[in-house]
Amino acid sequence: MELKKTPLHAEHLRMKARMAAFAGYDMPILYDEFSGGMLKEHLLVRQAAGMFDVSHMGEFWIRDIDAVSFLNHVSTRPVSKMAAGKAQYSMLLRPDGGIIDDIIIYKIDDQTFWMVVNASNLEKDWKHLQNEATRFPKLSLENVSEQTALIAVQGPQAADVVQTLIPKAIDLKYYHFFSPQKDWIVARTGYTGEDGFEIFLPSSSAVELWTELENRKVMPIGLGARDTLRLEVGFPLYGHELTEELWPQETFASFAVDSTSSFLGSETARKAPRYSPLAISTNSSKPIREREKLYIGDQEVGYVTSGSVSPIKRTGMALCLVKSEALLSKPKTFMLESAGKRREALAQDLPFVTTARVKGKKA
Amino acid sequence: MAANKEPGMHVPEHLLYTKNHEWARIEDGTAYVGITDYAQHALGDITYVELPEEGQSFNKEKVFGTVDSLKTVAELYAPLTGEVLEVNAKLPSNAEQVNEDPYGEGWMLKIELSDEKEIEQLLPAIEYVKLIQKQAKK
Repeated sequence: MELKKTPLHAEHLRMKARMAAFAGYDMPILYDEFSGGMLKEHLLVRQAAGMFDVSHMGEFWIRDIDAVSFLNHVSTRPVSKMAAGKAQYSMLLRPDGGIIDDIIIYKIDDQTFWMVVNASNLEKDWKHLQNEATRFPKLSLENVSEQTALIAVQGPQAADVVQTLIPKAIDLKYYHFFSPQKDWIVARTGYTGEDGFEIFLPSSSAVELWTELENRKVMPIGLGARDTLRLEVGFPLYGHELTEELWPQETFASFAVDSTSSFLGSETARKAPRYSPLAISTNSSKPIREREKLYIGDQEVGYVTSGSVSPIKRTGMALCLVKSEALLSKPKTFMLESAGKRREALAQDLPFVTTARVKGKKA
Repeated sequence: MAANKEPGMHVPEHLLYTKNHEWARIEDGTAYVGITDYAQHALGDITYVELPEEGQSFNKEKVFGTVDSLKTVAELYAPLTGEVLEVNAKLPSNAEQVNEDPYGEGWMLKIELSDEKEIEQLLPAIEYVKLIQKQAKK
């Protein structure tokens, strides 16, 4: 199968990115000749600002009189109370409660919504939404993923840089957006825990924005650092922490479910969880790997869904999925097993690293 | 042979190499051992190196340790048979030295050679360059 290319593909090659297949696209994993490596890219976003090409993600328009009732039906949080200009993290569930995808819904007005979905789930999401749409006569769905680019600018200096290009962006509050021109959406959101923006724009304008950002010394950041950045703040990733086999209450995204309203899968979403998400850390710089087994004593209780080493703390960090019954006694100490060797890991409150947008629990 | 500036393709002439991408610097019956620029570049950011204890012995081509990068874990193979005289004590807390200076500060072991005849089986720089050029094209 030939890999798809984002509108910025030639830019990545010019910047000598190491490319790899991701969700059917040929995507930049790191720009080491530019940045000096994945760790440096990570630190750059924590300390300055970086830009990410995430144009592989999917975008849909949901329009017309039935838009609100349709979204209240397919997503895990009602959109009725959303203000125009507000974005909301949410999920799509199967009727049996399995997670189809995690998404963000943006309210333009009462009859116009924008939805961003994971690239790896784009086709199944689109089919699911079209199937459910048959029950709503006054509804129009449009898939604009192919003609839409998405550039994220993230880091403590992101606002300073972006406002030189899009002046009103500085006034946005977290999880709010505005449209500076037709087919552009500038949202104060991100997947790194830092302040920053996600800028949806027509594919034909992507190279221009990318090079304008480059001229302002914003470094390109690959999907490799994107993964350690999101992991450090405990953001779940579909296919790892979220899957069709899991219910929302069994994941780190359980907050994104409204506890009182009725929606597709809501009955299951209120059952007692079978599994529980757990964050762990080690005291060594050996990365924790996905699929490593987790033990309490000699009893296998779960496994790692995403793991690495924190570039900030230089210690192992991982998100795990554990049988709920094994956590009833609130155990703090676990054993990780990899290649027949065991090492100790400790339960850890999220985030692993406190950032501008992810502070964690107040002590 | 001029120094190659391509990332991951630096191969100093005065060292000897293995097809597993280790290098050896021979000095009076001992050898310093590490991994090549090609190996560190392929692994990416290295965060952890596990090395043996001093006094342990390894046969040629046996695993003496592991190296973890953000991306993957790789085994380290002894280029020559011998006893470990010294390990680079700085590496456990400064694993990135293997990325930054694989032939210098990123060295891993100093071993006392059991059989100096094995040296002849190692690859000279010119042969190792051919090997990695072939692999880089794949």
